[in-house]
Amino acid sequence: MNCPSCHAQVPDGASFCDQCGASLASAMPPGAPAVPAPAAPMSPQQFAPAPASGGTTCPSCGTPFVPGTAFCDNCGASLTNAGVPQPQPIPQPQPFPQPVAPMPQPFPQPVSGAMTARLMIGGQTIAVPQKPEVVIGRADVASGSFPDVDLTPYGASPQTGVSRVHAKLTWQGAWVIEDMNSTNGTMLRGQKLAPHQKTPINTGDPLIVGTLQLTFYAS
Amino acid sequence: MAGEVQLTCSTHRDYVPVLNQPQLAYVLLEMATTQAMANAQMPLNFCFVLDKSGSMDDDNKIAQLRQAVKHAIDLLQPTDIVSIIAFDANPKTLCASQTAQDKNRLKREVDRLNASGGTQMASAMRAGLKEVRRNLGRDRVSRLVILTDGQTEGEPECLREAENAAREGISVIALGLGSDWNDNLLMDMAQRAQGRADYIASPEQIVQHFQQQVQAGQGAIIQNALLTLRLMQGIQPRKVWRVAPLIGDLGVQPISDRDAQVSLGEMVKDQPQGVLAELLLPPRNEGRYRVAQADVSYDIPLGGIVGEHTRADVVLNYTSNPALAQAVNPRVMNIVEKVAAFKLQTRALQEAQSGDRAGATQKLRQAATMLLGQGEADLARTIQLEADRLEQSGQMSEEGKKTIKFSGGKTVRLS
Ligand SMILES: [Zn+2]
Ligand SMILES: [Zn+2]
Repeated sequence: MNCPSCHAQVPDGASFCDQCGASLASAMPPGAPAVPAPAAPMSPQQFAPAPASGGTTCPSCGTPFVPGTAFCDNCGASLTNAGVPQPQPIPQPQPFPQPVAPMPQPFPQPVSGAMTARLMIGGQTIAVPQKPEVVIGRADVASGSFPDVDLTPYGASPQTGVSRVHAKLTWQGAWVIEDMNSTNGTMLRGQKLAPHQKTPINTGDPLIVGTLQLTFYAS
Repeated sequence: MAGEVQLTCSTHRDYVPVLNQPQLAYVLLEMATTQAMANAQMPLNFCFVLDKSGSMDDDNKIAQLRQAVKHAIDLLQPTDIVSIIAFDANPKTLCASQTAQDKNRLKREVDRLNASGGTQMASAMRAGLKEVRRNLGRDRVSRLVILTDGQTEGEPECLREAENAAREGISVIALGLGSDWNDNLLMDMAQRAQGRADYIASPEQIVQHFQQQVQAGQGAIIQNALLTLRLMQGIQPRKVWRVAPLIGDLGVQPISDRDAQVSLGEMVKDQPQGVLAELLLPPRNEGRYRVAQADVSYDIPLGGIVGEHTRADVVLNYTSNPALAQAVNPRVMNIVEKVAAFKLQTRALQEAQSGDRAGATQKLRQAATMLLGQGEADLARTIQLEADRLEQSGQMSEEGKKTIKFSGGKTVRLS
């Protein structure tokens, strides 16, 4: 018997080709998933579309990496969602609600960037509303607090150190973030932010709100 | 007989994308002893080599040490062999090599332990080796358990004694108490003698460390474990890490263009071993592939078993369906992140040593962020504190440095 993939001679009854590793299970239609649903719990993670350059470099420090690498060898940044080339283009989801208020006019239209962003927490994606100012915090009906990004479904509570109005993202042609004088503070790239100090935030930056760990992506 | 060791493999993704370039895959191999070995226990041939220098009088250290040794004696089987050397500038044999039958008499000898004098570890190691040598044998775990609280004279001689120990199959456990001892020396000694070094922050913790050492010795039923990865054509093994019980670079030996070997040494009962392999996958068409066959060979001296094997396949699917390639195995990714944090800490300590304050600070902060997200709050806090200290004063504290060095590798707990 010969391997259908590399044509090497393989013993009858072998389940994998010893040369190329291909499965020799015969009843497998090409391209179909060959195994039943994986036993291990799997969490869906959204890919970022491949960057225009097509290169694979760390979004934080620019060090090149091999596709599939989970963390940057140089700076430790998470690369799970960094520009890994995809087998085929994925249609960009449109999860953003239309902004309620009209855009302020004097706002400069950026040439390259776009006012879209998302936050990742524990493998889940939180869409950032398309607004020039986005408050991140914890909804509280009693006090009438309704932040643009409510972290309550992601574990925000007084116990996890998230304030009702905790931090604010502002679009200035690029994103900046400020801590809104929160009780437990905001950390960007491992540095604690001084209250109301606008600091540039880049794609892939680790962000800690109270004790919740997020990653910011401008995309 | 087979089935003493169970080997399981998982990958960070079950499906990887079809790409026209190489990509990295993470494979987690877990090895645990099975129920069949639940009652097995290795006989010991231990020598405790104990620092009794003058500084051991502070903070109740010598009293805590006496209590810890007595507790260790209580844990021994009557057939275990034990000896005790106390040392300052000179070694003194408190108990010559003997079976632990008369525990009360052994404990009375321990009460003679009083603190005074200098620190000369090498001659004490020599005296300890002499005792262990009296009862050497492949069917016993032969080991020096050294405890010191200070800088020793004659460091090169200590390393030489560690090498002598290794040549005779005697491993060296080197435990440093408090902050005033040379961690590089103790780690080097342990490494040369297939042992382990550890940091005991305060005297009350000696007892728990001694207990761990006795139990680890009695549980070391699997010896000479050797992992062989037979790889699919075109795969490069990039790195192989031990992740549990302690994170560390295992180093890969290519033995042919398809096979790579990693020495795992001994395996302790009830202490699952984890190995994380980073494999560089070649481009492939869609389909299901066995990317590697893992084979672990091992000896069980208790049963006279030599060269037993257990095997498992590492299977991956290449897919063009992006939705399938999106899923990751969170358990494997969690361990990958812990290894990444460990790498950052190791490099930060090196950079701090060589004076790159900014680089070290940044890496410590990133490691702290990752560990905080992983729920390793105590270690994250220590690292954060040392990053602040380093940034402000250019110096880390000795306690903080040792905590990072010795706790940084203990974050993965398999069960
Ligand atoms: Zn083949
Ligand atoms: Zn980087």
